[in-house]
This record gives sequence, structure tokens and C-alpha cells, in this order.
Amino acid sequence: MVERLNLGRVGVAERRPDLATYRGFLGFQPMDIFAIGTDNALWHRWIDLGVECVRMHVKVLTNPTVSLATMISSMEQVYATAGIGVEVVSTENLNLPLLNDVDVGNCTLGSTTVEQDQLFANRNNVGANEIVVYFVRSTVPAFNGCASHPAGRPGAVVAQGATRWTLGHEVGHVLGLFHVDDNNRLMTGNGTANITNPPPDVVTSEVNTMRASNLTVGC
Amino acid sequence: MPVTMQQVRAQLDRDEPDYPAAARLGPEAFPHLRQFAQGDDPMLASKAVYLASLIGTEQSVAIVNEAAGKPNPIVRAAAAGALRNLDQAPNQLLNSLLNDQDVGVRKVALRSVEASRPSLPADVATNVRDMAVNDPNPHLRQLAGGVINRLSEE
Repeated sequence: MVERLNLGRVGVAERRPDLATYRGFLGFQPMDIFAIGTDNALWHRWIDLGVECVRMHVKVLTNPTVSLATMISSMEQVYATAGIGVEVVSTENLNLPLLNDVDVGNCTLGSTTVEQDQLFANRNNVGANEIVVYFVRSTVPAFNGCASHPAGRPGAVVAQGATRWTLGHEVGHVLGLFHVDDNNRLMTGNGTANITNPPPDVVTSEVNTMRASNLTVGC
Repeated sequence: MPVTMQQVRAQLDRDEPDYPAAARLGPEAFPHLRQFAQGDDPMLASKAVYLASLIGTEQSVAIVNEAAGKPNPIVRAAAAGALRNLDQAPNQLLNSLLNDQDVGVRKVALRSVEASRPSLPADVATNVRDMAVNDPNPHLRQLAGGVINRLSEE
């Protein structure tokens, strides 16, 4: 999240800080950030960003090549830096062979195809402020994922060949984020396969947008 | 100025490629697109096939035709999706994808035929009519029946 972390009276961090998070019975807890300072000592800062979560439902038509567990943990890793937990509320397998290669048109936010409408109709009682991610074999045309969704049915599709960061990237779109020209950031428009310094960053303005979304809710 | 492989790769690497913008690379991108389309990464291959179809020359048809014969159904589905940009695609290619062993590929091919053609060539119409009666997937039979009803036969 930051390249040089101010450690207060002592000095500045000389390397990228590490982040530790805790999960308790109340959900996501404040962040603990550790870094080595200019004095070679291990320094620690504690940041309370409040308790917010994305509640996500996973619907699998085809399992991705990068495992679901890896995609979800990668998303958790990035979202934790924004003080947002990722709660996988449910996982369901869907047998919908005609939507497994789903037509997403130009994948324009606010615009959906007939097939996207059909796919996103399979929310199966998911709450209005919860996100559904459909894992499909492919999209037509080929995208790693696509976050355009019908009104009132927030969600995204992720294709089998997506990267470990695509899930977090697409949900980022659903939360209101747009592409940036920076391969250090989750929302890079140059391809999450090209992220140069994992985990990718979310900057303050993006954190504010994510936390202001009605899709980030109390954990 | 010649189009480099890096320029093409930069377009295909995007999670959500801007295909219309990428198509402006033009026919000079074809050698690189062909290489990606024949490569081992089905995601890159699929993106390359679709982009090739948007550039719209005889080489587009050749790349899509090669993709239609790939063992990976993801690449064949991309070829089927690319058909919607190729109104000059030979009927043999349409029929090959309409008869694919994979139900997803057949569905995408059917959608593309419907989206790209005002009417059906006779042999393609025969194929779609057969699909409407005999396809193993009942939903695809229904889709095919709808296409037959909506499109006239040449």
C-alpha cells in the first residue's frame, strides 16, 4: 500500500511493510503493519479502519485453472489493505452448459446481454447487498472476467483462464472502481497478469470508493 | 511502422481487452496473432482469435479456421464467437462449429450465425434444422428452432 511507511519519531521504513490481519468472532479486525526501520528494528503500527466486509457468493459453472482458494485468498490479501474483509457466504455448483461460454458483448458497465441476464438470474435468494461471482469456462468475446451486471443483481463473471488477481479486480469494478494505468495496482487496465509488485495496491481514493459502496457492509 | 509482438501482447494481456481499439493495429498484427492463437495459453489464444476476426481480412478467416480445429474447446468456442465478425466465413467452417462435439461451442456458433447473417445458406439451414430436432441438449434444440423461425433460408 505504501512504499515508505512513516514510523513516527524513529524514521522511515526501508522496505515494503508486511501486513497481518486477524479474524475474530466479530469478523475483520484492525490491521497490524510491520516493517523494518532505518535502525534495522522491527516496527509495528496498528490501524483501525472499521469493520467492513464484502459478502460474496460463488457460483461455479467451471472451476478456474488458478484454484478458487488461491483467487479468494489473493482477493482477501488485497482487500485487507483497504480494511475490507471478504466473506464467502456460499458456494454452489451450477449445471448450465449453455451459459458456460457466456456472451458478454462489449462488457460495458450498465449494459448486459440476454445471456448475462439469464446467468445473473441464478442468484438463488442471495441478498440485495451481496455480490455473486459466476465462474464460467469462457466469455464471448474472450475476457478474463467481466463485471457488467443487470441492475439490482450485483456480480461478475470470471473465466477459467483468469489470473489470481482477476476476482479481486472484477469485484473492484462492482464496487465502483475503474481502470488505472499502473501495474502496481489491482485495477490496472494493462492486465492483472502483469502486476509487478504483488500484492497489488489499492490507493486511498479507491479505498474510499469501495467502503462507500452499499455492497460493503458490516461484518 | 511495423506492429511488434509486444504491442499485440499488451492488448491481449488486459483482463478486459478493448477489442475495437486493438483492431486498429491492423493486418500487420496477423503474424503475432497467429502465433498467440496457436500457443499453449487458451486465454491468450482465444483473445487473439477474436481480435483477428475483427481486423477482417482473409487472414482472419484462416486464423479462425485453424482455431476451430484446436483440441481445447475454449479456443473452439472463441472461434465460434469470432464467426459473428466474419460474414464471409465459408459455410464449411460454420457447419464444422455447429456440429462440434462440445455443446458450448455449438451454442456459440449458433448465436454467431444468427447475429451475423440475415439469412441462412441452404446447407447451414439444414444443419440448424437438424440441431433443432436432434441435438442432445433440449435447450439448444429450442434455441436452434428459434433461429430457424427467425431467419429465412437462401
